[in-house]
This record gives sequence, C-alpha cells and structure tokens, in this order.
Amino acid sequence: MIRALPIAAFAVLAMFWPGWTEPEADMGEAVEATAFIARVHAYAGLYSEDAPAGEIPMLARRFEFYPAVRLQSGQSYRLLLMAEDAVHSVVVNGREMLLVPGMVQAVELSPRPGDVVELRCNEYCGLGHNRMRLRIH
Amino acid sequence: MSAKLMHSQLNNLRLLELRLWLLVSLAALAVAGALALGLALARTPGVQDWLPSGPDFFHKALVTHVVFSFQVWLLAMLAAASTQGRAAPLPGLVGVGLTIAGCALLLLVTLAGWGEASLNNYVPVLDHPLYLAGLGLIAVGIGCALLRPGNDMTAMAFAYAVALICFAVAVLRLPSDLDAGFRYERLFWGGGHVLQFVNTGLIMWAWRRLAGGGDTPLSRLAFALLAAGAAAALVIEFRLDPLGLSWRRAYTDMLWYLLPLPPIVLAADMLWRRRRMGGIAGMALWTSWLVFALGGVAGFALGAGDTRTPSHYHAMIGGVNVALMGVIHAALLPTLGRAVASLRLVRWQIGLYGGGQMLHALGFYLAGLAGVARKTAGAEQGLDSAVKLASMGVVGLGGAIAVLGGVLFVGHVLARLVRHD
Repeated sequence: MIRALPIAAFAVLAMFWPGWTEPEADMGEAVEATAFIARVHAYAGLYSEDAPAGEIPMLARRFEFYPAVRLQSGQSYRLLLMAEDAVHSVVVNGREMLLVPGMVQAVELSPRPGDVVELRCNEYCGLGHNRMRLRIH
Repeated sequence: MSAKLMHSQLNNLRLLELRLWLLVSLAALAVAGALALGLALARTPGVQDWLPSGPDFFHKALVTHVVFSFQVWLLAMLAAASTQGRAAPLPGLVGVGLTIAGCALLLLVTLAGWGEASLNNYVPVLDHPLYLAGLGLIAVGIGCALLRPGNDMTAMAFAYAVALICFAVAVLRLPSDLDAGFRYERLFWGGGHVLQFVNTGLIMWAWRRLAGGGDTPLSRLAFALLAAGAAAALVIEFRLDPLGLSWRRAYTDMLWYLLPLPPIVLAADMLWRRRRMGGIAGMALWTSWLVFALGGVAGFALGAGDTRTPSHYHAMIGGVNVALMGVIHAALLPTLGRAVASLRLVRWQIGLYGGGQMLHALGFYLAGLAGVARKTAGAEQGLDSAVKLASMGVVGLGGAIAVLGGVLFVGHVLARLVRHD
C-alpha cells in the first residue's frame, strides 16, 4: 500500500504535470546571421549610449551583450537579440529566452523612471558566463 | 573449508572493502583541500608561472576540486554505506579499483594542464578524453558497489541507475558539433539533478544510522518517494528536447517539487519516535538537521545569479557532510575496530564544521540579498556598501572555521584508517 502511493502519484504527475507537457518555447525568427551582425554593427556605430525609441538589434556573445545601450524612461523599445558565437540565453524582467546563432528573439520593453532593467545570460556559455550581464536602464 | 571459516573470510573482505571506500572518500577530501591550496597559488603573482598551466591552473584546479569534494567524496561514501548490508564484497572491491583508477586519471589531466576547463553545473570537466574516461571509470566503479545484488540501499541504487541512464541518453541525443560549454552543461544537467536525489538518499541513510532503530512505514514511504522522484527524470528525457528551455526547466521543477518531501517525511518520523538523541550521533544529527534545513529554506528563496545560490548549496552540502562525519565516527570506524579515543576532538570537528558552514551560508545569503553576484572575486564583486562588505566578511569567517573543522576531521580519520594494527 505504502509503496503503491508514490507510484500512483508519479503516474498522475507524469501524465498531467504541465511542466512536462508544454511545447518547446519558440526559438525566434530565422534570419541571415551575417546580415544581422552587420546590422548590429551599423546600429552600434550610430548610437553608442542613449538609444532612441524603436527597434534595437543586439548580439549576445562571450561574455557580453553588444552594443551596451542605455534605454530612456517613458520610451518603448523592441530588442532584437541573436547569439553570435554559441548558445546563450537572455533573462529580462523575469522572462527567459534561448538565443542561438541565426535565430532572432524579440523583447518589448517600456521602462518607467526608477525601473531597473538588466539583461543576463542564464545558459552556461564559458568561463566568463557569470559576468555576462548588462544593465540597460 | 568450513562454513564458519568462509563466513569469517567474507566478513574480513567486507571490512576491507569498507576501509578502502572510506580511504577513497577521505583521500578525495584531502586532494580537494590540496587543490584549494592550488587555487590560492594560482592567484599569487610569481608563483602562478611555476604551476603546470600558469594562471589557467586556477580554473583547472577549481574543476577538479569540485569533482573531488562533491562527487567523489559523496559517491564513495555512498559506496561505503553499501557495504553495510548483505552484499557480496567482490564487485565492491572491483569498484574501489576502478574508482581509484578514475581519480588518478582526473589528477593526471589536471596536473599535466591538459584540456580546457568548463565550469558547467553539477559535474564541471576538463575538456580532454582522459578526463572524461576518468569520470566514466568512477561512475562504473560506484555502480559496481551500488548496483550489486544484496545491496540494501534500493532507493539510492535506483536513483543512481536513473542518473547513469540520463547521462547516457544525453550523450546519445546531444549533437556532437555543439559548443563545448553548452554541450557539457546539457550533458550533466539531467543526471546531475538526479544525483541530488542520490545525495539526499545518502543523508537520509546517515540520519537513520545516527538515530538507530529499524524500518517504519513512514521511513519506507520516504525512500519510496525518493525513488519515484528520481524516476521523474525518465519522463523528462522521453518527453522533452535536451536542447530546449522546457527540458532544462523541468529538471529544476523536479528538484523544487519532488526532492523536499522525502527528507521531511523521514525527519518528522524520526522526531516523532525518538525524542532524546544524545552523544556524538545526536550532536551530528541535530547539527545536520539545522544546517540542512537552513539550506532547504534558502533553496526556496533563490535570487537570480547572486550569492543566494551558493548559500543554498553550501548549507545543503554542509548538512550532508555533518551527518556523514557523525556516521563515520559513531558507526563506521567502530565497525572497523578503529573508533577514536577522544570524543572531545570529534565534538570540535562537528561543531566547527557545522557552525562554520552555517555562518558561511548565512553570509552568502545576506550578500545575495544585497546584490553580490555569484562566482565573482576581487573588484568584480562590487562590494560598494557596508552590508555587502560585512556579509562577505561573514562568508570568509564562516568558511575559515568550516575549513578548520574539515581539516581536523580529514586528518583525524585518515590517521585512524591508515594506522597499522
């Protein structure tokens, strides 16, 4: 009887636990990696710090998010993120997305005054992984 | 040969196996300590150039330090625990040999400076075929002890087998052209999580040895829950993609929801039945419960990338280690006829180690709350407030006290084990 209890509980969990049945998270939109990297470099050449509202193309690479932009309060942004060299991830505002080369993930942000917004890699990517974070607001 | 003589020889072999596993466990801690010294030397200007791979030795020594102090020590203790039943000693003795050979390979690769370090979760590695072969030999060696017929530790043996299956499935399912860091992270993520069920089973076994007494319906339920929890990994492996985010999160959920209940059920049962527990065993048991509970609570309030994570696992490992220190002194050394003479020294070991680990974990937790990032050192820590500075000071003080207790324990027990009778 006692041994049957956990087996029954296990069977129920295995069948119905949503964490095991949810579909794999969307990996983003497929793009031409070289063209996207060129777009990021062009953007970085124009805006080194304060970013204007709108789309911001960014790269996740060992061990930084590039370019190191600063968002302005009260503006709306759409970050477009792609991994350049290996698999990374980005955690922002409690949500995580995997970043792989050739796939772009989008994040909508509208920071208010006093908000702290930080991008952080949460997928081990090498010895500098714990340094891979960027405060953007 | 008479039945009596055969029985006596079997007993002698069992005692030899227990002594060898204890020697492997304690030697693993001693090697981990020596490598920790290497970590300090690798940060010392002038000295670092004389090390096998120069300043890079820091990360390589760190990898092997973690493998010895976490994996080899705990798994060899688990194998030592498996000698307490009716299991035949021969597979266990073969296991000791394989484990020692595996450890020698790990040390060879580390000291020769071969392979790049990967500080992935659970089982960090040096990216070199001989290092992976060493880990494989250790896994098989421990398997020889745990998975042999007659072993009483069914739940832990089952969880260990599930962990091995997870590692094997990951090897088969992960593409070979992945970047090394990501590949090792995903390779050891699933099985590494399942090994936490094995480690929890080990501490549950130690608690029961310290408290004495036989099986109860609730203790059987606790171990059955542990085995069922570990089996959840098989569902994850067969239902989710090992390259995805859901797969990774499912393992975190598995620890979150399925791991806490078994030790809580067992501890509640023990508290209900035996209210007075004294002596070295009682002291170790209460200290272990206290440190382990602190780590468990911290585990439910982890931050994101800050030092609350090391606070959690230092306290959990501290709780396991205190219980094992108690079992070695109160049960295993007396079985070998090598009980220590000075109980006062044993109390100091347990008190210093347990108290130090609690301070260490508490400091890490407070530092994490104040925003100190994990796995950083020096200027990277950004200790820009009095709270951060004070809490990291507590981390250092607690760590130093725990190391003192640990060194006393390792030195004392090793001396008892190698003593010529």
